[in-house]
Amino acid sequence: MGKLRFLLALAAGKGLARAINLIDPSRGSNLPGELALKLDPDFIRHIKGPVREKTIFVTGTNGKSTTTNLIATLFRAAGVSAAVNLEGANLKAGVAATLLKNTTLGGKLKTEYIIMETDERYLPIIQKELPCGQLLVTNIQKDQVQRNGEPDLIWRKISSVIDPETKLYVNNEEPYCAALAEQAGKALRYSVDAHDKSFTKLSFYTTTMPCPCCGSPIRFEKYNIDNVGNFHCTGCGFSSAEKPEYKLEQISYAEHSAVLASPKGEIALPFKYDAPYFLYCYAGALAVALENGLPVERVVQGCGEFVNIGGRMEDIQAGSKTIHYLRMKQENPETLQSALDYIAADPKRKIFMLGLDELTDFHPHYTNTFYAFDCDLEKLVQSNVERFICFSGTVSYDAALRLVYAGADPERITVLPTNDDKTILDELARWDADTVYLITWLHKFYDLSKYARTHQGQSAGGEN
Amino acid sequence: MPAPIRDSLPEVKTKMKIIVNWMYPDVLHLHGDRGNLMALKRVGGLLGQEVEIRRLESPKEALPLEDSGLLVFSAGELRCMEGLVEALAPQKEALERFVEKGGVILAIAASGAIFARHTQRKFGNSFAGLGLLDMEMEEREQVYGDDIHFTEEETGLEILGNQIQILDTHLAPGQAPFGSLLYGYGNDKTGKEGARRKNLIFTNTLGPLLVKNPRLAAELLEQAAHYLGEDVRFSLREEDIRLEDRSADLIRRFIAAKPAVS
Repeated sequence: MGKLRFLLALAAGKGLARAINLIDPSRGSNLPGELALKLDPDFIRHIKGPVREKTIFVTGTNGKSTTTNLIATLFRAAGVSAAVNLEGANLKAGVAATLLKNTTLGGKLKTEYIIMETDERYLPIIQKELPCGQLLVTNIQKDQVQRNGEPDLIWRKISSVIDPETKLYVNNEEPYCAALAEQAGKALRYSVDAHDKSFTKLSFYTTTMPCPCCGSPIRFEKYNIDNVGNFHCTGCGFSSAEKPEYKLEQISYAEHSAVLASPKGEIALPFKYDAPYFLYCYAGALAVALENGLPVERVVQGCGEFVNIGGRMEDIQAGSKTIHYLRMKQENPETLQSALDYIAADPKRKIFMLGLDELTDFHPHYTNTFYAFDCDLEKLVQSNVERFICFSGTVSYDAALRLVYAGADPERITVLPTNDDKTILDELARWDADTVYLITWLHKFYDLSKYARTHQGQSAGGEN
Repeated sequence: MPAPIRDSLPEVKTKMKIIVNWMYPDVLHLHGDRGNLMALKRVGGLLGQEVEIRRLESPKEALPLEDSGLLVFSAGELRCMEGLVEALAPQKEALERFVEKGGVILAIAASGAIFARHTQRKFGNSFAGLGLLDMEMEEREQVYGDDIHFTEEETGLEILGNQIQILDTHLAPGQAPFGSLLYGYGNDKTGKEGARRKNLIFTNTLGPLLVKNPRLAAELLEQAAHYLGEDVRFSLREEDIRLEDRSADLIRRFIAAKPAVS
């Protein structure tokens, strides 16, 4: 009976996946999995063939999708088959959907490896159904506080799945990750050496974080990205490892090259993407690839071939103006800081549009903007911004206040207490600057994009 | 538009400088809380009152309570609270004297556990607090995040912000709350928000609280000035806090459209 139910669930899931693929291949990464799990709640367990040692999960707060995609690229370059949830469907249904697409009609896995991005909150649930033998943790940072509260909650969830059979890969320079290695007793640390874009923070209002081991203040020598860099605890001496197993060194942004110091010796590598957070994705993925015995020359080839899916920057053409949209994750200070830093690094005269809004991911919806006070906006404010435009039906004044606190001249700030696309783009059209940057929620970007497409010439630069 | 932080201060109303002790900023910093310290500095500027923010890095240091009227304990991770209580315990009497003489302490979110009688944890060691507030705290199974809107009990001041509830707070009979809820979850759905003993204030409110509620920042500075022996009354000009007031109007409207917390 159980087997029949499984086969029925598999057939139904595969049928739905095929139908969705015919209608719109860009949709439906979860639906076939949801259907299969509805018909057989033990669907994932019933799949034949997964080998724990060859089941790799990638989890953490930021960088999961990029790291997973990069690992998949390296395995593909080496000719090793893997079932991968490339679309980022990282909950149980997404995992089920990926597996059913990679099994025979009899329910046997067709690939040698399973490589899954897994949501950090759902990791313990997924692990029970599909035990992973290798776990890569990108970082554990503040994110979605409405459900996560504090990073320690996520640390505990990830920690709960680590057992002596787990091969653990951790970011050496992110304290919570490094503390997982301490707890596990054994782990492979991947690391990025300080580079041209590393920085220090000297502001009076700079804060770091409590040590995950003893609660004393952590000190960073330099940051490679926000809250990630060589560190030590002022209380117990806990620190990033001096000799991590895998370390990207000799990083040259000019030549897009680096050298990986690894147990297999030094390996010269090309890298395409030069935002600093990508370096950790490269380092982690390379550690996984080499630990699984992929040939070095194929790994190097894979690094060169890697194309990131769903980048964080897109453009809207609005009249004569091009708006550069930078994506951030809601309630996630690190991704907001990355976007702010990117804009601040552009010396051109610019307009900055900030559309923080109420949060609607979970119930009850609410008006949190406090994560913006975790970010430093001073560099952005001092980076030749002609006009700040803050818009939102609920929190536009709060966003403007954050800018004022960072030193922005209130006379240079327009506050639009609305989400009306026309009003927003009409205000943009009033101001003249070579470059326009936008930070807002993804759905608002789509709304503005659609409006600008259908009303081109009537707004945003049409009069200028 | 509000005035930016002024380079030169307007008419000085008091001779003394108010020193704000920013307690353990690298440990207690979870929800953009440094904004509260920036707000005290900014509001001081708007009032013409010199305010100095002083970082206290370690709980093992002696508390400098003689020259300071105000201590800010920001929200922090719950796992850090037991260690802070242990480190502060030898200075409990000094803290109690400070509170009894009218010194101001603002403790936000999980930092309330430092001042509570006891905190019951679900996912870690339960521990006793300093017991300066007659309340028990209890770790929740699930985090609850929402807006919060209440009036301060003593002054009737309306306060808006957010709440990320990891701990429920149960006030003992006779323990005064900080406020009465207009909307939100507050301590434990009893309609009360936070706790207050003289000027020792515990609140669940984030935002950052003092950025969104500059009149409360002014009130805390005024109480700190009283503690330091200056009989002053601080009042912000409406034109200086228009952004904050307009924000409050929008958020009041947003909250009015939400169902009550069940």
